Amino acid sequence: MPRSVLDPAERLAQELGTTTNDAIVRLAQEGASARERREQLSTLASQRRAAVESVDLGKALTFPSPDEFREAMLAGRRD
Amino acid sequence: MTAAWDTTLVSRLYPGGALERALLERAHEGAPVAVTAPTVMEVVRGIQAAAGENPRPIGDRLATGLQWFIGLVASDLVEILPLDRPAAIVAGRLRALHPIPPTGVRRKGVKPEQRAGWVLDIQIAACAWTHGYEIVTENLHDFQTLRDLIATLYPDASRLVVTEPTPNE
Repeated sequence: MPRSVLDPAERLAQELGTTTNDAIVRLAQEGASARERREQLSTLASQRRAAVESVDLGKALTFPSPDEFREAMLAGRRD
Repeated sequence: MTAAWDTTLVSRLYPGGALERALLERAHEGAPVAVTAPTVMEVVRGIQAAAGENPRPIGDRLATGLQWFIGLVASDLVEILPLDRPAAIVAGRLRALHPIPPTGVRRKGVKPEQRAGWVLDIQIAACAWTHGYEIVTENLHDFQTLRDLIATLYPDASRLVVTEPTPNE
């Protein structure tokens, strides 16, 4: 068992009044829970980012003129 | 030093135009043009609003333009500089120091839009500076004001470099 796990487990065991083995299980549960949360966040973030960045030019007919496009881009400063 | 284009330059991007060619050349050279996240927000907001407000066929054309722009900024052809923790701190301090746009330059729009534009310019400057980029802009006066404010806040750090676009930009 590496010291990086054993030391916090011994501190936790002392704090909770339990055995080191029990504390190791608790730390493992916390770690697993944190990992699951990270995986869920990563999945959600990937789905959402893909939705934001997806582009569909399939039905595109024509493009705006350069002036129309620039005016739109700067609309927030000109309303 | 690597350059970040501000909104005045990005708003000149057009498919097949000179600025898009310059952008593609930079990407091909392995030094893609950088654009700050606040500029992306500003430009997308503008096109989205205009597409919704304009009747057909202009609205449809703008919707197509929005798709093109999103595809461009979502690609590896452009590097997006996020408004992350250091940039947010700098932007907050700048806005507190200079809450209203500088005087001396005629700004378009009514007061709320002028202020919105100024807040965005603050965020753009903060993003570029904290990520180590210079800023290329047609709006030299305002960004020079921001450069000086940043230098006041962080006198020991290197200054924000503000440059005008070259003929190829």
